[in-house]
Amino acid sequence: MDPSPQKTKNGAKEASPPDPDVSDDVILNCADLVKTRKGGVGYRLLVESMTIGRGEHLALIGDSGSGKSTLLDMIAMVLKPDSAGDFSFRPIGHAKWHDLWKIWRKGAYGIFEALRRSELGYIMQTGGLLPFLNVADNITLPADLKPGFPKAEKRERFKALTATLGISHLLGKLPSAISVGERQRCAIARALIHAPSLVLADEPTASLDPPTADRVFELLLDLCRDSALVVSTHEQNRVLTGRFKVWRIDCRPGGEGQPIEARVAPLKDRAPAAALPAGRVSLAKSLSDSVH
Amino acid sequence: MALKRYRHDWLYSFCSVFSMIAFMVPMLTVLGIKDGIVGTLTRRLLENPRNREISPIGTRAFRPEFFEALITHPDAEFLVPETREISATMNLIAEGYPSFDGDLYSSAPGDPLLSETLDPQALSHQLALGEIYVSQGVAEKLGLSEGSELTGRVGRRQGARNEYGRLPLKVMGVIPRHITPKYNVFCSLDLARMTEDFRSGYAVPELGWKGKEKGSEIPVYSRFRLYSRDLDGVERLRLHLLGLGVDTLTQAAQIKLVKDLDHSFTVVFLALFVVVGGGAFASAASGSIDQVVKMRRSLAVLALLGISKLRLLVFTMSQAALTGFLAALGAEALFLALAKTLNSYFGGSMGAVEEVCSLSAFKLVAAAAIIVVFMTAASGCAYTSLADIEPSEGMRDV
Repeated sequence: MDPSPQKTKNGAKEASPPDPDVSDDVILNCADLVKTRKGGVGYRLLVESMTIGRGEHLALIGDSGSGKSTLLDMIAMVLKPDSAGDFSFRPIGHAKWHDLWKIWRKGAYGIFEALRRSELGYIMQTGGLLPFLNVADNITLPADLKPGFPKAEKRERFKALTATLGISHLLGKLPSAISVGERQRCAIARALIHAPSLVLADEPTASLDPPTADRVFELLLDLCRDSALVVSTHEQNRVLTGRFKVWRIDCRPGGEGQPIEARVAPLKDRAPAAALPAGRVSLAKSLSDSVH
Repeated sequence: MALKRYRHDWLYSFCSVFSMIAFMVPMLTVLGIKDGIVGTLTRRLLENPRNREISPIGTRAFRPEFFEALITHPDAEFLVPETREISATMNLIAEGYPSFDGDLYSSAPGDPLLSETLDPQALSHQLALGEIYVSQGVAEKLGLSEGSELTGRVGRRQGARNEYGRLPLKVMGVIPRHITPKYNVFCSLDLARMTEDFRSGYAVPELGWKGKEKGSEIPVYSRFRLYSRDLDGVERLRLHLLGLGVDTLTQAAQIKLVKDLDHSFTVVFLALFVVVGGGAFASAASGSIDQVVKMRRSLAVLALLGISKLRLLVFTMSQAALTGFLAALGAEALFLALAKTLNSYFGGSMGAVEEVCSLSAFKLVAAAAIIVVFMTAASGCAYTSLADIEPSEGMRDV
């Protein structure tokens, strides 16, 4: 337990019911979420306020090292924040909010495991398929792990997903026997098979050629209807299409002896893709940009 | 899922099974030889009641109270008094054969020396005065078999004259050489005592033998045959009798030899097991740790998908247990083949030992269980490497 007084304050706050303003459709609520990293000048990520709603498509953009992965990991319930004003999650169709920050402080990792099993779907950069299971077994795994998930629904979703993703002919193959793009499509099916509340994709197109990457994004957007989707990417052009709500992580030096300060805020200016710097921009350059 | 993963990495699985087989077969063989040879020797010692026999050294006078007390000892199975050695002989006369003197043993129902030869009904039969069992040696010398009839003659010297008492005898059975290698006649205690009485100059009216009148004094015996229930009881009975001031003769040396052999084999086996087993454990543990390292990414993905560390450990351990199980099957099949070969190869030449190498079904099952536990425990060593896998590692390539 962290003895800092701030924690006590948070403790008092989290005990109260969530903000009544929060719509029924909100599934994740973050307020004053802080994560710091030591080393070098240090780094501090701050999410002042962020909500994710049911069926919402959210893209996190930012330069390499800006903290997209850090934020995504926190949302994915695998990284403990340093402090949080509010950090709570409510699965679709549930009335009960899970106070994630409280669960972290209590160390009740079993609850995270249960939530990850039932309510989250993951798409990794390289698919993250298990090499020893064939495609079909990989895809159905989360449905088998989700307690009480109906067999019929699993079959139905499996059929629909594999058909839509065009991977019906790959089901018996091992991941090593199919192409990177095919693996990524299988990963999408795996992330969605168990109808999770929230799908997280970490640089899902980084290892794909551009046409395939476009197709993967399209499929993701088409398939995530009920599930909320959070994609982290450095390929800003692909998400500035109007179909994503884009949040940007901006880093700025924190002044003498202070850590780099990274803030997450919605991108107000929906400028056309061409206006943005293409491809990777070094952290130094983006830092200097954001200072001016 | 563990099965699928096991099959996927079949080369590793095969190698780990094979390496466990390579460890188990020599272990089982040493254990098998220990059990085979020592087991056979122990069985022989046990089977031959001679080895459970305790008899006093020298001649003393034992009264009935002594016997009554002795038979209540928890290790005592059978006790029969014996007459003086010097008078416990009988001249045996069968038609067509030269007569000769056989040593008389008194016997009683349930005599362990007869238990192997006789069926239970015959064993519980109380010998009548004229009924005897003879050792194989006697039977061969006089051409006797079960049901044969002959004459027994007891002699004594009265002054310058030899006097004889005679009685007809009937052979009730022949006792094989490995039980009584000498020329023995087993008769009822009454006949033995009458023989002794006659030799001492008394009359035996029951058999029509003449002599001095004998008073109705309590019989006193100079020797006895005592049998322990088991080999371990022999030493306890010996010490018990020593405490009563009775020096005894036992087959302690033989028993000790087998026990020492058993002990040495056990020590050798344990030493081998510790050294080789330690090595095998280390190699199995390192194999499991390697597997966790190798599977780290997959395990992290599984953790990310919400599978707890405990279930991941079960996932890892169940594969090790499967290796143990398959290795046990393979090793025991090989062992049985090897044992059969050894037994048929050496069996003939070793004579005294029927089985050079064998293990009971119970021990085989136990060995299999032990090896499964052994492998599972070894894979448990991978827990430390498993414990520091973070689900967040599953999110991206490290």
